[in-house]
Amino acid sequence: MISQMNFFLLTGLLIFGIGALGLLIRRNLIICFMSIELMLNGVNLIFVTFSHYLQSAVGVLYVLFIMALAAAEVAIGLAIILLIYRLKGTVDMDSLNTMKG
Amino acid sequence: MLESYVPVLILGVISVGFAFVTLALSHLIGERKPTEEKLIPYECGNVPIGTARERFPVKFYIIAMLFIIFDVEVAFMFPWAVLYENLGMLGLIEMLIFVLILMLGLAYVWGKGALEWE
Amino acid sequence: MANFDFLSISPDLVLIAFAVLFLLMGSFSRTPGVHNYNMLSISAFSLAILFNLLLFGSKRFGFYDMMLYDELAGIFRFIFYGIGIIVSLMSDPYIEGKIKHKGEYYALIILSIVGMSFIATSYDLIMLVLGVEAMSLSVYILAGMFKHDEASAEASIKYFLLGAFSTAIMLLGIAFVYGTVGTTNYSLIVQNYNKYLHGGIQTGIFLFGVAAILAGVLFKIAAVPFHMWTPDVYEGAPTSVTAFMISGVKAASFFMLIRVFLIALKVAVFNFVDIMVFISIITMTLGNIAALTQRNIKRMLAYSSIAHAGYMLIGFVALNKTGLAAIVFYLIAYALMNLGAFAVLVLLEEKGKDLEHVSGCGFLYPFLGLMMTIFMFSMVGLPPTGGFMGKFYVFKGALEAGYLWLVIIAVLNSAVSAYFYLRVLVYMFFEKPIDAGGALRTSSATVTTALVLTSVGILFLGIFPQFFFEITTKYMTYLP
Repeated sequence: MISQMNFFLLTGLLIFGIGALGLLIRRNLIICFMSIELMLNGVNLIFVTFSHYLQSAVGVLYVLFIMALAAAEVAIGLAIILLIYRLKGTVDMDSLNTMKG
Repeated sequence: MLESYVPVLILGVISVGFAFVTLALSHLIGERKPTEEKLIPYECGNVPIGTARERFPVKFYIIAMLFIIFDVEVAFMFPWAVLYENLGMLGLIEMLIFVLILMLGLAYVWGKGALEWE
Repeated sequence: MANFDFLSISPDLVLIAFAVLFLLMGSFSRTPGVHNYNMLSISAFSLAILFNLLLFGSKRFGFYDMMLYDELAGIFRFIFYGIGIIVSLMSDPYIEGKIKHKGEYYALIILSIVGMSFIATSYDLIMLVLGVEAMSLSVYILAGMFKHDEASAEASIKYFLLGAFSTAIMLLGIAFVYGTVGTTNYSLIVQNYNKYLHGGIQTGIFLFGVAAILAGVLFKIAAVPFHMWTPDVYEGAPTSVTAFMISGVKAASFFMLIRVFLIALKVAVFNFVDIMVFISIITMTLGNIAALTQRNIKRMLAYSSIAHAGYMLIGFVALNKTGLAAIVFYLIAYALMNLGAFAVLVLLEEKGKDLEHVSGCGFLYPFLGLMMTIFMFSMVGLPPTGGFMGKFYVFKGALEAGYLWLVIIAVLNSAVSAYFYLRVLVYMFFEKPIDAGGALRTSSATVTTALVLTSVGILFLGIFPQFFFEITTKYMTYLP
């Protein structure tokens, strides 16, 4: 039972890790942004796993709230990326170089 | 306790290692002969019509964003619907408050004119 | 127990009502330009302060133990609402003509402060997450509020990506804490930890979760190694928004650190003291050294805010009553001096953002020169200002805990920091003005009020520190 749980946890961590890695190495803002969603979904999977094996509903509650937060982040993030695209004509992260100190 | 994690660790190392090795190998020794045909975007076998980087009107994005937000808020109603009997009046009132707040958001969006297509 | 204690969140309810009103006014009013959102938002915050004053002194659990309103949360609510008032005061002339949606601007500031207030009263990790997100999401938008300014958009996207990243890390940590102790209620975490976790792999996972939460909090505090976003974001965002971020968001993040780590995770906090000592040293040193070479004043203040975070972390390292109460005291002084300095910058910004552009302004505009002198003295930590007393109390706490060498490093750092703070004054008073000067376009009564309020506050904190410090010490009930 406990080892089965570990596979779920590992999958969740793997998804989280892929998201974190993607955020750090990809240069396209949209992809970075998708990576963040991936991280949140990895966390969701971990929450559901714990919730199932602990027989407590709190974890599922978290998933609901994280989904809502992710949706809010999507709305804001897309709007900001759209703003960048309008101003610069590209969504490449290397174009974010107005400020150098 | 700790021993039960060893297979998991081995599996993790193997799976990550396998992924890296295959990717690295194909990257290193794979031949690449890019032709014009190969480089066009794959659209289910059809010949692409126009460029893939076509610009969509901004209003699509606005509608999509609004859709996402209001869509996900419905997720909060599912647990309420499942436990409707147990929650009783209290749950109903809370859900009404929740929907009222969503309504205010909708009114804001409407008043700003984000719902007008033309 | 279903204690729907609406009274305990009444200040926030008032603020939310005003924010919704602003949004609806913006979208349905036929004459959107004429509304005085500025005054409305100040009255909203004043009303919230009034409600909070009525509540102050009581200790209330509410909403199925999701919230706990205690005196320290009350103090922090006062801080947040006060910051709201001062930011509203300095915003209006600055955003005039640059931001079309003024109602949204003030509504977002209000909603962000409601998020901070929820952080302050949280008694369950999920309330904490919701508060952090309400605070951060609003600030992401605020940072990009200048829609035609590339720097503003860049600040917004950088803050968004790294902020969302830090939230995700924090959520991961919460997931592991939840998985090991089976709850996220602050008091139940402690209980279950003592009941179920006695070393072994479970405790390891718990500590990993705590470390991840700590990383998320340090991101928001902008402590090294999680500070990369700070200079760009603070430089690019509109100046009034930067003032809000540098004071409000930082105060909320520090309170999050105190509240979460001394109520919920106090079982684990001693495992992290050593690394916090290291983080504190490297944060203040790096902040000060990087600030030395900056020509842009906003960027310089951004690095200085990193350094100040390092000083404040000393109080957290000390982990005794003096040190922790000193953090609260320091935060008040820090918020006041930064708000004041940014209020001066709001007025001078039409001349330019670099040091050269303010040359001679001290004599051209004596009032602004005097104000900037007070704020810069406070940032260096010279008496008789709040900054001096804040540092004094923090160092006192560290000495009581036996960290003499840490205090020595911090004092050396302060001495280094004097160079770049006083350089601003040197430019303002001893350099030739680059243009003829004349009256500033944006000299305004509201910004002057903000300047007077902040400078009087700083001097008051510096001259009668005992009064405030006794209050913060009395109510600092969170101890490890």
